[in-house]
Amino acid sequence: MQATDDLALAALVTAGDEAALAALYDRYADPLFGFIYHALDHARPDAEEVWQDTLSAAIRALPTYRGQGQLFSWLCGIARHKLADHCRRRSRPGQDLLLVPPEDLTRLLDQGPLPEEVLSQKATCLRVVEVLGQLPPDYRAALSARYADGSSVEEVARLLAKSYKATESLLSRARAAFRAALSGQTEIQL
Amino acid sequence: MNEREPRDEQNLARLIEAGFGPDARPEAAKRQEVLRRLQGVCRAEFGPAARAQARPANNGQAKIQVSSVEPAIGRARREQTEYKTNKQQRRNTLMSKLFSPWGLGLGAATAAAAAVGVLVLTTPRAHATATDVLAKGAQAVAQITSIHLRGQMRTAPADNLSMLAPTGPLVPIELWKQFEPVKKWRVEKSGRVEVMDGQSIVMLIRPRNLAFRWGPDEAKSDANWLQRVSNLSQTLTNELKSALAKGWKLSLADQRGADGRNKSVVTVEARSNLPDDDFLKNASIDLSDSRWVYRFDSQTELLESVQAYLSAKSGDALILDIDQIEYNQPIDPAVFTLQLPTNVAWAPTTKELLADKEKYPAMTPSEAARAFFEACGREDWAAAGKFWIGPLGDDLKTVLGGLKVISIGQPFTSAGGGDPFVPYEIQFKNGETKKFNLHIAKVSAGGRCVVTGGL
Repeated sequence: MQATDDLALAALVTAGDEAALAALYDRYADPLFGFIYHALDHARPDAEEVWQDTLSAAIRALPTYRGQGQLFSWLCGIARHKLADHCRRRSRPGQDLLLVPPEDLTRLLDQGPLPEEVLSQKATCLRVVEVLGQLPPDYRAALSARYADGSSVEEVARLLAKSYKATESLLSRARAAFRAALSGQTEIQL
Repeated sequence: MNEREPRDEQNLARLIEAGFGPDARPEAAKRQEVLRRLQGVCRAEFGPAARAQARPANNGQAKIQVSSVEPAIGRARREQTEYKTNKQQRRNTLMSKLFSPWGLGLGAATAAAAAVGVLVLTTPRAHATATDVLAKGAQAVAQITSIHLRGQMRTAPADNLSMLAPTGPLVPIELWKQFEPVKKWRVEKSGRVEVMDGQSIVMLIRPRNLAFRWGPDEAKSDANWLQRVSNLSQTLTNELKSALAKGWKLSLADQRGADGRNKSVVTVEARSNLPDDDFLKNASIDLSDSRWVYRFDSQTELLESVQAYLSAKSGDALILDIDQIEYNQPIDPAVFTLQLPTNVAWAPTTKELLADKEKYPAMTPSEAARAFFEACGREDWAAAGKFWIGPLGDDLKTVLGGLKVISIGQPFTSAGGGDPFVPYEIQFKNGETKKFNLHIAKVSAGGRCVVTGGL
């Protein structure tokens, strides 16, 4: 469903629809930044440069997107190329970007509180951002507001213009989707 | 509720916070800035002008229209407006509103400097492979009849086409060139355009609408470096190979492009050979320590993009990104006709500048700098005009009138050669002071000194 939406969005953008561009940007720009930011070990200026390059390249290449996968995965593919270019320019060893898949996060989720060392791993953060980027926008918005920004359920409800009950329900579904996506996530390779 | 859920929620919350907390998101201002840039990209790529350009002409090929420059130029104007706003907040001098650092003439100085160059490879085999890629690329482009380059460069819009503004915004820059039947070309950024119509080169500087005309030799263009890029077969054979002798490094890598096709990437480490404290180091393309990345499609062997990065201790910074190269597309003849504004002011010819030849040629650069500033201070515009290469417009007179000279220093030149710079400190009538270096050119051998930049 998301891929279909993505394809329609991409088609509108390539038809010159700026509202579609803004929607695409709202949907994917932030998680894409997070992906690049973690890949570059939180070097913000570098991340901003690569992020911008990635988005510019993606817009230009958008006519080649055929809905073969989720648009966010496609964007991450372009980001990987840009990251590789960036690291090559900076003479950073390519291995820096060859991420080893993290521990099986879903297994760890079941075992108890997540260890800090797992939370601080680059691979973990990349995986989280990639999973979030693939979730439906309302799921991501709810999870982001509730857990990344620390908003209360009431605040999330106001943000999303939903009732308290509907927001609770949305959060529950979003968590389930996030967990499912996390377990089904394929290996991240840069 | 599943009994696992509280812990599950706590873990998920920590995961999401770790991966997507506020630190891992773009700052609001940056976010807006990038969106605006993307809107510009989107208009350039998919807007009405781009669609018109992509529409098949009678012969079935896309026709490049002069109007296609408008989205890029519009974007440049917006970006420059934003940049100026920020710049003025940082350093609110009147002069910064009117002038780019060097104005005119530095192209002549930089023309004497090194060309884009290449290599030194770690192994003879790698060297051979890289030069082979270049040679094949040269063969692939040997038959091109026209080329259209589009990209962005960190440069002040009205400054020389070779000058860099490494901390400024990326400014769209574009080149059209037809090789047959008559060689013609056009290079444009928002504040400066040069057109060679087959007979002569005309350059227009906006918004002052100051125009220059000279012969058709593109080596005299201040976009000479871009001409080299556009003359691909020369770039990839003569210039790159000749730079072997300079000992610059070259590397070759294979990549898979975003389009899924294999690319050969040739990287050249160009060196200015200027000392780090040289005033002109990294001021222009030719005087920069920079890394040039030429990306070829492995199948067609055509050059697809060129990026240049300024090499600095703090890391490389993108200064040029030519990301769209079209070959053999018919170019609208109107592209090679420069429409001059009705209020255009033509720069005086060398002959006109050489009037009063007994007095002025004897002046040293420092004397000329002092005489120029003092004339401005007296608001004696006829006298000041003797040292100014273009017409002294009202904007200049408003800013420079009534100034006081605080000091004039001894002239110096860059290790790369070229005309001298004269250090100065002046105080404007509003009380602001400025300390900088005036660029002084001798308009001919034994000729007079003329201010060509540095205000």
